[in-house]
Amino acid sequence: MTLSDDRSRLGSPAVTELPEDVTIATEEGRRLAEQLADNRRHARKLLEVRNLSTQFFTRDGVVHAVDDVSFEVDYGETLGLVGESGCGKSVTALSLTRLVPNPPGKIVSGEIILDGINLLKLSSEEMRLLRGKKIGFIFQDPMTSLNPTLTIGYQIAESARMHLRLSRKDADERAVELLSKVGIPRSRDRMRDYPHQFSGGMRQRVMIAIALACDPMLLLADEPTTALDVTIQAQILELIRSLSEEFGTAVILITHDLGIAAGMCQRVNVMYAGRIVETGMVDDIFETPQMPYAWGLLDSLPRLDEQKGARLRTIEGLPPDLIDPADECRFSPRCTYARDVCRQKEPQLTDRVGERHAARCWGTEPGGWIQ
Amino acid sequence: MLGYIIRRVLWIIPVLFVVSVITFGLMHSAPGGPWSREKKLPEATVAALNAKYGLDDPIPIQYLKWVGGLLHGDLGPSYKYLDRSVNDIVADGIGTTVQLGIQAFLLSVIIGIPLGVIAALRHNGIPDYLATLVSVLGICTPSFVAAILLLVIFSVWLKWLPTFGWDSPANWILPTVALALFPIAQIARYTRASMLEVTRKDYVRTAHSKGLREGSIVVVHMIRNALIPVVTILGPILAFLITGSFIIEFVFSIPGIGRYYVTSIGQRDYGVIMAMTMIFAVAIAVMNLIVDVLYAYIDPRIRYS
Amino acid sequence: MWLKKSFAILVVLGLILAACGGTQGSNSPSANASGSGAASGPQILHVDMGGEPPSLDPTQATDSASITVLRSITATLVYFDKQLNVVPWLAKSWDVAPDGQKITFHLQDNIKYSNGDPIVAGDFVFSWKRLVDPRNAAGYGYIMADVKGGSDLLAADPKKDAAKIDGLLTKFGVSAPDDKTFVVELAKPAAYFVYIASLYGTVPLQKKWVSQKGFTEAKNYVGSGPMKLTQWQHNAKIVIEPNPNWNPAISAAEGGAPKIQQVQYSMITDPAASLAAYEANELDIGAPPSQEVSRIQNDPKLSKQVIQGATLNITYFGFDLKNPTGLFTKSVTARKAFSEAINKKQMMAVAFSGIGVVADSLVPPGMPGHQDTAFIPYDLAKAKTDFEAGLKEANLTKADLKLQIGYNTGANWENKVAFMAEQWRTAFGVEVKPVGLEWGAYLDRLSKDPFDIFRLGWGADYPHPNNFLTDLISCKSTNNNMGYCNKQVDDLLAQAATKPKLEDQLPLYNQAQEMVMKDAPIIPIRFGQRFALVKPWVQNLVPTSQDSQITGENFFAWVSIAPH
Repeated sequence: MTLSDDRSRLGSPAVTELPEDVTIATEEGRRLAEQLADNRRHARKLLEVRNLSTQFFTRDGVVHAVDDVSFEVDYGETLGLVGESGCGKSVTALSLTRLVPNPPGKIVSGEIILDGINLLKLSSEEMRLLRGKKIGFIFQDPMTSLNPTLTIGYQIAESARMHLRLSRKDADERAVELLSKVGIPRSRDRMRDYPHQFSGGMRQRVMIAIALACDPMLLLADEPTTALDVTIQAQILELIRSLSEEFGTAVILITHDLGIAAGMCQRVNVMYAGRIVETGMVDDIFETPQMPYAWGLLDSLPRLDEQKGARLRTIEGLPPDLIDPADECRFSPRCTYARDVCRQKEPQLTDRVGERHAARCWGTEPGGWIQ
Repeated sequence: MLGYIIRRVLWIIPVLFVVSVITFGLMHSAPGGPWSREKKLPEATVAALNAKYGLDDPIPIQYLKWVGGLLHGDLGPSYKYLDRSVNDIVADGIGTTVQLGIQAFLLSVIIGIPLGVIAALRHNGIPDYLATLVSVLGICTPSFVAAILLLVIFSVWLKWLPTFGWDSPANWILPTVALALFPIAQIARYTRASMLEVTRKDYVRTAHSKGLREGSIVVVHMIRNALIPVVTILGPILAFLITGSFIIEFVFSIPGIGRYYVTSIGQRDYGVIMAMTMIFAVAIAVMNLIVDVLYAYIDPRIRYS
Repeated sequence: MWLKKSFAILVVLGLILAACGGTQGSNSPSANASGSGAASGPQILHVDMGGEPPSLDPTQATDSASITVLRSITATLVYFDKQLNVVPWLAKSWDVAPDGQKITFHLQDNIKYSNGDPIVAGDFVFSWKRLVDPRNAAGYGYIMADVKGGSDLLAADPKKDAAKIDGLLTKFGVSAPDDKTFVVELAKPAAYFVYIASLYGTVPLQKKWVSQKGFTEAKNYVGSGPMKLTQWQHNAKIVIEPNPNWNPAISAAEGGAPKIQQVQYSMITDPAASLAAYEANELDIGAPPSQEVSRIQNDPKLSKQVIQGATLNITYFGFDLKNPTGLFTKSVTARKAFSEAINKKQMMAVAFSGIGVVADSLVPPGMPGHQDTAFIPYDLAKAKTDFEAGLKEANLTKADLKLQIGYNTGANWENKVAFMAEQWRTAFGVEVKPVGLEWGAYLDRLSKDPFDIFRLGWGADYPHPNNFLTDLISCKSTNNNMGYCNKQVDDLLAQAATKPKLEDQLPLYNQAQEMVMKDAPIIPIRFGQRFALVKPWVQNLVPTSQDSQITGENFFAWVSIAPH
């Protein structure tokens, strides 16, 4: 099976996808395939995350890294997950693939329903069969995320051999096609090269090829360009965008850079201290942000109209300690608009004006003091 | 790569020169000589012996004569084994010493690496504690103590294995195990630490994200990378196997050449001391070269030119 | 251990050794196994020779591992019987000329090498000249010094005097008037010289064999003894088997033809491993290291296998009398004080595991001339007064003393030296600093600049007081590291050597020893004692005080193995 043969399948969202796209050689695989087929008939969303909480059990106490987070991703949609480092966005992504290092981390509650399947109910073997197959993962640092002792050809073909049961030769062919698809010239020759023979940007392209090797429904891109030069960043983002459109793959783009999210995503979740503090269509977030933290993020973006030499604004203060967070707005210590109520009770994520727009802020609720 | 190997091999020559000069100088500056006895030989006899073996020449001349012999493949006479040449002594024993070394090396790799891997995979579990215990014991127990212990347990108490000699494979077991204990422990310890390190590597997370089988992640993605730092200790371990063989050959009365090394120094058997030093210097140099080549093979980032 | 550490014990036997006791099972009625076929098991004796023998060339060998094999595979003109009398061996008889300067040996009939060639008198001429030839630099060539022309040859420089050597050899006093007669002419009367003819260095050698360089491989080796070398795996093992060409008539008293079918000598370098091999029944005779003695004595099984007996050697500590300003050079009373302060009995118990005999003189028990007198007894009170007197005599104060006691490392001397230092500290309040040196360095130091007090040992070359007095303590002895010199002692020793009969010599040797002990140049500590293990199935073993490496080694050919 080559990539081109597979194009028809890749092109459309897999709402009525056939069960055989799961490896069914094992008992787990067969059950999974049946469950998939059954669930898809009813599924609306590709991914629904409900009340997900992931905690790290450290010597100092329990860190509530992801705290009661709910969101959803539509088929083919690109969702941004935006926030400062340490806000829980990467842990959220790892939770989706159940790759949170355990110990010390653990998903303590919630549901993750991918394509109608509750991932948290799967056995670890069933979960493994979904990883790489249904969910592709692009990590932040292409310098360290590739195995230095294996050829990139091997690393790409590996998951195709695993999940698609391709022969070594077919898998290699597929890898060559994927490599050219992600824009690596002389792809056939470079199959035998090792990661250290590639530049950072090229390696990230290889990572993308690996993530897409089995046509996943969902691509998790965790800060895919943070480690790269600015010029390369744009190329990589463009590659992710074009390939996800071409393959119909939904993407969760994790970034600390709201600007990147604006260029890439249809919707954005803003995360702060383990919580989603604002969610909405990208335009709404940019034009009518409903949470002072989101304003801060927007303010810290470089602007074209900004004077040369002017310092970028940053948000004063540090995110709170996530061990035993108090019942208060977690942003309130850094918020210039905060009032007593913010420090007495944590606000809920409530709807705002705009499609699927919600925010977690007392001040911007109807009748609030911030306009 | 070939050029690199050739250059490294050529480098051995000056190294051997320096080693031989230093050894020769030290050896001759040590008080006493091959004819020292508790019951002294008459002075005329000592003089006659010195004349017979050319030990009355100035030291530099003796050295040059020795080098001359060496270049013709003649390692000279033994001053203790009077009728035998050093060539004979070396020819008799070197095969045994090499065999013992290879056996112990293979055993330490075959046991040490899996032990370390299992310990790392069952981090803080019972296998880990057992493996750590084995490592600590192996590292702390001097090989002659281990050798005597093995001897007492398996030969004296259980009477399963012979106490000395090298005639049959049954003779090989205890010395090989005794010699391998320390390297097993060392390799297991390094492998474990290295595996734990690798477990946290990004590329292992990548491998998990690809949904690979646990086994293939361990074998394909982790072990090879984990072995890179382990390879660096193989050099010292091979050196240990050489020096360790001196003791093991002594305890188990193995007819190798290692046994001669220690005794020849006490007896000021200059020819044997020089030959052993040269052989072991070559062995260490060659094995380090092999380790370096292996290193390049296992880690594609390393290229020699 | 002492025997292993000492490089060479050159053995000549001939005199009756009263204290050679400890001959175990062999004295029991079961000894007459011959003919009855009682010994039906495999007749193989497994022993440990402690390492590769440096040389099985009788001319070159100087050490105990070589001797232990040579004793069985070569034969000398005379030997000794089980009661240690000198007996005919390859020589059926010998005549000593009235002037004592010529000995004529008459060879046995029908004596052959292991290759079947006859042994002729000319082979002794060849062998003896080979031993004395300075170009061969034989370690024990000096035993030829008493032969006419021998000392000239031994003193000749093989390079400078090269032209002269062949001439000197033709004048060397050995000859073979016919194949059955070997004549030795001596430079001076030396009645004891017949014992030299029992030394393995004097065995017959075939010129043909020597030129084939046949000393290193069993297949080439041509021997003359009751056993022959059949296997020599270098650094691993030696096997000897009966020599079919041995004339059993020669050894009729020992049991005729060899009884044992095979003696396997292993080369176990580590004493602890050797004991393990014995306990694992891989060896029939064991020589346990001293630290195992108490365990063996307390082991119900092993303790029954112990055999003990005297060995002809002494451990002593010498005083440096060469340093002109030293306390011990200046004061004999101080030397005595240091000797009196040592409780040797206690030292034997704590530091030597009780193995050994307290030595109060030089000539060991079991040797003629031994005097069972405590010349300088342990006496703490006298030691203290003598020490003060000695300081006065030497015109020194306690503060002047910076004394050192030297020993060789790696041979368990540390605790013994520490014991002595402690005794001196208690007696005199003086620190004697122990200094250990590696063996070669230690010997070198002793010959150049000895420590104030130093450890050494001495073993018998031949069981005659001459060997413990003249060869050790006379002014000219190279082994006199003390630098002790008393002309009167030397005169007495020289006088004794001229007396043809032992009973006339002994009073003179005793007088000399008494004089030496009065001068106290050494502290005698311990006479050697064998502590060996022998399996109960080893029969007809004959231990002697002359055994140098393995208990009973001199008569292995006639050992038998009971079924077990």
